[in-house]
Amino acid sequence: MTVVNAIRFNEFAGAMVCDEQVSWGDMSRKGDVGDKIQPIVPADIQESCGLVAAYGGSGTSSVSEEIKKTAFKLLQREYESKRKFTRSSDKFLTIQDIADSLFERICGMKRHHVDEFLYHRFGFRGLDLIRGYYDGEDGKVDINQKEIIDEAQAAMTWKKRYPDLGFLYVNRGILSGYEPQEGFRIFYFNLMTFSYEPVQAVFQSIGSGQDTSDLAFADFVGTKTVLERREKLDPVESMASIIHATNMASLNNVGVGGYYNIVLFDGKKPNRERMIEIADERAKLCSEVVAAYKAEIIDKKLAFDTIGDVLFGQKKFSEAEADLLKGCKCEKKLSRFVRGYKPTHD
Amino acid sequence: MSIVNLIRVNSHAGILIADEEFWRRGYRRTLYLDNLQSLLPQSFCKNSSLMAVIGIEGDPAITYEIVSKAQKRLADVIKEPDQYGREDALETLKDVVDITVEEMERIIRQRVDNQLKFAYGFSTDDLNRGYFEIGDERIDIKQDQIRSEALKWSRFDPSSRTASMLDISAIIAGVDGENGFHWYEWESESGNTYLGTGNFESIGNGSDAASLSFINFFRNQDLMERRKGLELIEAVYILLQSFEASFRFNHEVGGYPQFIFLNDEKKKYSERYKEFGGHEAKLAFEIVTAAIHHYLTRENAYHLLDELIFKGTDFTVVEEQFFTKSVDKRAMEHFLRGYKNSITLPNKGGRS
Repeated sequence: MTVVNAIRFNEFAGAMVCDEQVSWGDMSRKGDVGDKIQPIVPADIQESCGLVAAYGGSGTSSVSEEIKKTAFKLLQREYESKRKFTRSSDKFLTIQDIADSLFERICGMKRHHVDEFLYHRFGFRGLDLIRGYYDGEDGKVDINQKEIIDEAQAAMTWKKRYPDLGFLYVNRGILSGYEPQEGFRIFYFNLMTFSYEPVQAVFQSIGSGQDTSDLAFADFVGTKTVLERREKLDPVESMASIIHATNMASLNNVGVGGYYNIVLFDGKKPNRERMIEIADERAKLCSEVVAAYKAEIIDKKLAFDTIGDVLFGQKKFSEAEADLLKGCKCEKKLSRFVRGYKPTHD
Repeated sequence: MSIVNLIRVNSHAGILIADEEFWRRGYRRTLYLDNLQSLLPQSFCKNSSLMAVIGIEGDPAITYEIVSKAQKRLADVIKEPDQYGREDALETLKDVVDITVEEMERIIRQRVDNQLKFAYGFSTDDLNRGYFEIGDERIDIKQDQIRSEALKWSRFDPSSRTASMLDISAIIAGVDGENGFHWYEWESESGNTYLGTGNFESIGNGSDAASLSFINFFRNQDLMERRKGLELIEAVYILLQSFEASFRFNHEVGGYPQFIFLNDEKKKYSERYKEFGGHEAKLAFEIVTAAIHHYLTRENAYHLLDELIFKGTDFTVVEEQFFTKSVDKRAMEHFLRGYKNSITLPNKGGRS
């Protein structure tokens, strides 16, 4: 239960935002302890190639974690192999290349988990099911029982949402990143539909919070013309939009909460600075500022100035908060609002 | 699913608390529950030693109907006991419980029958006897597949469309002339009514963490202390402490708390029965939360709760005192807004 959101400002820049709430025990317990969006490009590759990318997953935390680690290792291996055979280090993989390779790895990972399950239940693996037999201790064993074939096939294909492997299939992900050849790209992965695709819209949302995030995003993007959507989204306004989308999920959807991890991509910056993560009190302050602005407790200028200063101006939390309180016309009202009081109490 | 907690103050008094969060269709967070209500009309309670409240949780579409119809039925029984086969009006909490449970069972069965009739045209009674009648024609329910599906609906099988009937539970608490403060718990899985025992009760999704919080407190009291009970303010504190635990660790617990205080030792009705909610209840919750996390001494928390809940001091005055008495006002405010240790540790400076 999660929300992971991504937005593209232009060909150089974009952002991702997620929450940190994790659920346990048949959805009865919660904790703000997740790490949902992670960088997948090793620092030395970023430094030399200017490639930055992050993957954010929803669904089962361990499956999502496995995908992120797989992506990281994939890039490490590709880079090592490239360095062995070529001298140039400036051209490496595009985000599309990474998405292609990552999906292949995800397919392998899925087959491995299904094999584990089939072997545990039936004593054979997926390839055995396809060829119709396996080698038992006493020789060849044909797999010819209809019920067993049906169940094993359901495990492989998630037919009728086969519940025993729900943890594996209910995973989705967003890969976002920048590299100099193709610019900033967003890709969407869906293990429920066995697919991945480049994101045509300027935003993507996944997780239990997707439905309300989508509404907030659509509300924002719908006010922009095609040309604006392609190249001219204002970064501060866009950040207000993606934070609002995440706030909506946190407010209205189950399993979304805690601090946000705000990941900013900017291909125009030096290689080392092309991706930054803001996951501390500054992220929390931004979520409060956007909520207060939407509730008409602070005005747009104050909200946008604060977001711009914190996310793009490296302003410290204490200074930003002090300026916010100074600029706010009713500090007490703001304090009560962000503490969770209902609006009737001004 | 939400939370309803109860604490026994002593043999004459007790307090109940409920939250207001519900997940509509299982995924949409909403804050509209009204799960804690008096079952008896005020006019009756003012002239009787009997008071009864229900704290209920489950699908609000069902619990709302249960509470409103039980209230109406009880009011009717009070008005005309002989019409309902009673010699006297209600006297004990058990009288109220029996009627309320009867009403719950009737509503639940009615809802199951609606499903059966809509799908197949027969009711639970028809299913039990194996046939139903349309005009003069008798139709046997013989088809195994239909019988087995209908049986699943009839007994709220978790895989059936009537599964939500399984997830209802209630605490019916009160005072009466015979037994002082006591309570019963009812849950739909078994349909049984249990007499409450010990010093607390907790139902709903949040009962997981709330129970641990209660246990953590009461394990440090010996038997005689537990029997004797608590000071009223201490009981409020412990009750809100349990509420905070479920708020922090459990899903589907949120919004403002709502209280009902019962005390049969008091003379005036307004002191025997007291509802407490709204912004003041939220502030009470903040006060206890702050004390739990060491922004406020327990003594100061008791004092502020007393001012707010029992002395009727104005919200803004208590809120101001609350911040004044904090060991670190700024860190506390950040904590109450949901910030983490980097800026919320009291008197540590942090980055705030």
